[in-house]
Parts: sequence; structure tokens; C-alpha cells
Amino acid sequence: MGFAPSHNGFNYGLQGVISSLGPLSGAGRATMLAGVNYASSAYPTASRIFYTPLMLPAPVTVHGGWVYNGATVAGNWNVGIYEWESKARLLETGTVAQATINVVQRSDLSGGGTVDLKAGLYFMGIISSSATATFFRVTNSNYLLAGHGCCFEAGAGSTLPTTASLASGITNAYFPAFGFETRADNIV
Amino acid sequence: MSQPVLEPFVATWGFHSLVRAGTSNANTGTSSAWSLANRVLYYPFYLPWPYNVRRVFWTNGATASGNVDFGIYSWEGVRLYNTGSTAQTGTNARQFVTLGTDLLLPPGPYFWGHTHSNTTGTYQCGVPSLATGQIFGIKQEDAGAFGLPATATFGVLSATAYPVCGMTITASGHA
Repeated sequence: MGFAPSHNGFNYGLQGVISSLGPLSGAGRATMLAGVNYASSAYPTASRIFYTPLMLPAPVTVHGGWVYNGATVAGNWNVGIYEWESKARLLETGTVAQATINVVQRSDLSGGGTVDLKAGLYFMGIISSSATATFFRVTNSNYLLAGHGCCFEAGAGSTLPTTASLASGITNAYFPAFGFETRADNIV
Repeated sequence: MSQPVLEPFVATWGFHSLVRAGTSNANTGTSSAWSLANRVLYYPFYLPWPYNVRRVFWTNGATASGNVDFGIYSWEGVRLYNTGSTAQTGTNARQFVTLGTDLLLPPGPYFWGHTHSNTTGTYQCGVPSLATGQIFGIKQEDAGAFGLPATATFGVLSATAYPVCGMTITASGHA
């Protein structure tokens, strides 16, 4: 399977689902430290892109992306993964109309198929075209999120740029739950 | 020189399994009945190092009833071990089954498989939202007959209560 032991033993989470709030992400580690719960809340600014570092201790194959919709759905979302150094987008779901409240909503990757990722550092990002749309999110301190490498970028519509700009550290206490499937059997 | 030391108990609600998908409110002290007779739940876990399994366990709730089958599956869905049909006995306590032969698991991802013969038997569970369980990567199979299948078919989760269960390197005690 090619799953090598991690030197730090912190590789739990490679269990079929990658989550922005799980142990493989900066936002997730901030969340675990803060010990907060997630709840539905409106996306703070239309077309803001949230990024968090993603640390893969072993190779994975990405089959799809997901978000956890809140109590109101509106607009479109898009989630993707970026290469750490070049900040080049490696995969995305593409634009997905947000549908059905209070459930996990998944999508195949743009263009279909799967994307293999090696062990290493990445960024994962999400954009929503609407500030009416709600997602389950945590309310960690923005300082704690920024201190774990979380950033944001002003985007347009529901487009994830081909190259990320990580100019700004998180400035509000909001980070949404989203992620990716690393098994062929869908989570929903 | 340091060397890795793995936990003596590896459980669903632990670092190597259902780690928080954004929720710290696992409510793991809730006695909950099994959601559907003969339903199989598959809980993912990841071993950073080799692990020698001597016993498996689950945590019974306030009512014990019916039979349990608990086992370990490869990431690809092949059953590696199962207890076989075991009467649920004892309340609000862990129930252990000792393997006939130790099972040495190499590092990597696995599933625990767990089924129950009725909806009267209860477990001490974490009861987050269904969506949280799906984000955890828990899978489900409703095959109909009691028992863990030789090959798992990983379906979409609909159950919402996830017992505290797992495995241990210990041969006795801790009950």
C-alpha cells in the first residue's frame, strides 16, 4: 500500500477522508488545540478563499471533494489542493451549486478521474460565491488559525486560482469544514 | 535513542481512529442501542507502527442483549480476524475477546468491523451528527444475515451512534 510509518506518529487521519478540521491540516490542529465544536454559520465574505496547510505523511489518491453545508444553501462552492512551493493548483472540484442543508455534499473532481498525491506539504482551499451560504465551521481564534499557517485570498465568483496567493493571514474566527475523499467509495 | 511506543489500547474514539473532524463534542458517554439488527459498521483506523493485537473489546451500554461479532479488516475490505458470534454480556463496561493467536498488523490503514444481532443491545457511544460520522470515514453494510462478511462492501453511513471499541496489546486485565 506504500504507507510508510511517520517519524512523528502523527499520521492518523489517512482513513479515507481528508478534513480541513482534521489532524492533517493546520486548521485542524488549531481546532484540536482550541477544543471547539463546529456549527452552521454564513460564509463571512463572498468569494473569499480560505487556505490551510495540508500535511500528508503518506501518498493518497484523491477521488472527490466535499463540504459540510449549514442551515442555508446559496451560490456555488469549489474546493481544491495546491502544491506547497509553487502554489500551483493540483486539483479542484470546480464550481458546484450548494444544495441541501445540514448535510455533507460531495463532488467528483473537475474533469473526472482521480489525482495521486505524494507524501508532503500542500495547501487545501475553499471558495464560496455567496455570503448567504452557510457551512459548518469552527470559531477558533484567528491568531491561532494564522499561527498554524492558515491564510485567505480575495477571489472571484467560485473560481480557485491556478496559482494561490497566500498574502493574508486569517483575520476572523471562522474556518469551514471541507475536504477530500481518498477512497473510491464515496462518503455520501 | 528514542523509539516509538504505541498506545496499549487503540480505540475508535482515539488518536488513531475517529479523530475530530471539527468537533470536540463526541458525547462518548451515551448508551445507545444498535441502529439496525445485523447492520455492520466499519470504523477506520491507522497504525503508524506494527501492532500486536491480543484482544479486541467493545464497551457495552446500559442494556446487554443479543450477539456481537467484532473484527479487523484490511483497507481493501478483506476480513483479517473476527470474534465470531459472541453473546453481549455485562453492562456499562468493556467486554473483551482474546484472539486465539496474536495478530501482528503492519503499519497502515484498516477498519474494525462490528455487527449486532438486535436493536436491544446497547453500547457506550459517541453520538455526533451523521455528517460528522461520514467525515470520520465510517462505512456501513446492511447485508441482512448476522455476522461479519469475509469481504466488506463499504456503503454510505446512515447510523449516528459510534461505540467505544477497539483492540489492545494487553493479554488480561483492564476490564
